Amino acid sequence: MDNIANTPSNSQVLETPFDTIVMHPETGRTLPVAAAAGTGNAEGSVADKVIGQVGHLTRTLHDSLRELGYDKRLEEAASQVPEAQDRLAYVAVMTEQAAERSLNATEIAKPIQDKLAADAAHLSGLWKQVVDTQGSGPLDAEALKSLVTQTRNYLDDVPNKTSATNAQLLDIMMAQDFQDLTGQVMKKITSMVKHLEQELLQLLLDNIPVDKRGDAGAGMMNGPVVNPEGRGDVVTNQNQVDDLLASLGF
Amino acid sequence: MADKNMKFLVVDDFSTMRRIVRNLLKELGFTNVEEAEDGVAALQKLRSDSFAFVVSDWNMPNMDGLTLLQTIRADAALKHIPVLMVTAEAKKENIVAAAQAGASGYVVKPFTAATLDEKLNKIFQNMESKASA
Repeated sequence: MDNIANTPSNSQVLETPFDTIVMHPETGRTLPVAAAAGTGNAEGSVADKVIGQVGHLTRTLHDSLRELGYDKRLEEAASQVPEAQDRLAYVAVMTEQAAERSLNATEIAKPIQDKLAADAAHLSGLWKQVVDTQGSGPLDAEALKSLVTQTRNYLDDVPNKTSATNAQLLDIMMAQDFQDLTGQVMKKITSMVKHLEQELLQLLLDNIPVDKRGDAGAGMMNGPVVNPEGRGDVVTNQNQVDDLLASLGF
Repeated sequence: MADKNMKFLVVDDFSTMRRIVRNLLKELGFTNVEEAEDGVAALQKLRSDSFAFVVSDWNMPNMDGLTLLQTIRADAALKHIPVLMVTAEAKKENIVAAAQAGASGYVVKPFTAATLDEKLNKIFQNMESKASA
């Protein structure tokens, strides 16, 4: 019996486990070395049979991979993964920076707006007091003079406040520049993932029969729904959430 | 009306989202807000201090929002605290699971300030009617 385990094997570590699987010369089927050696033990145990079959399948797959050049193709596709990971990290950093910048700007602008509104309301109240509630009598000249001064001061200050707010708005606008950069990077990642998907799909299609493909469960941590079209198991807005809860009695 | 000084715990693994919720709560007059980045950190805070309200995301590392909710509801000291889920999870089974686990409300991302305001007020009303019952 030709014992492949005895032939000079290549130095690759991967080859070693497969060399322990013996090739039967007539049928071409593989058997684990132990089972092949014990010829008096014809049936072997059920476990040995199963192990033998798994070994056979693994050997076949391994050989296919090598002979069809899949290992090289998968290696090439997989080699792009670290770069894709770097790119995704870049996208995460860019979007986080943009968010921080925008949030900072709104937190600076808000108090300016609030003060602008509060001061206007205050002055308006004073005007009401001095002018509207006097009835038909003469207006208090001193109070009026003071009010005019205060109002003029306020009006002179408005451009300062609005220009400060505008500066923050400009910053928010500029912070959106991430979109262009992340968009370009994501295009690259998408094409890399497509490439990897094609390679893996091809490998699967060539090696696994259609009827053996199952459906993996989705679980409860799916993240945002990117494409709700045609799906009956998701909601797409708050109203649907509220309706669903109401229908359950919550 | 809800006590403006009530202590909120905002739980989300993204600091940007925590910041947005914090700012929205501030708009509504609630300035007593603390943050946690996952269920484990949230529980530590909840057990070491007194919180009146929890706003939590679902999808987080170490302990997700549903597990946090279930743990809160199972803890005698914490079970009364209202928990508003604010999450991107939009599958019907998620919403049902959250409701059954005792969530006080469910807001799906992306959300508007008006929606958050409405859901918070709804919970406050429920709290008040329970308290006066």
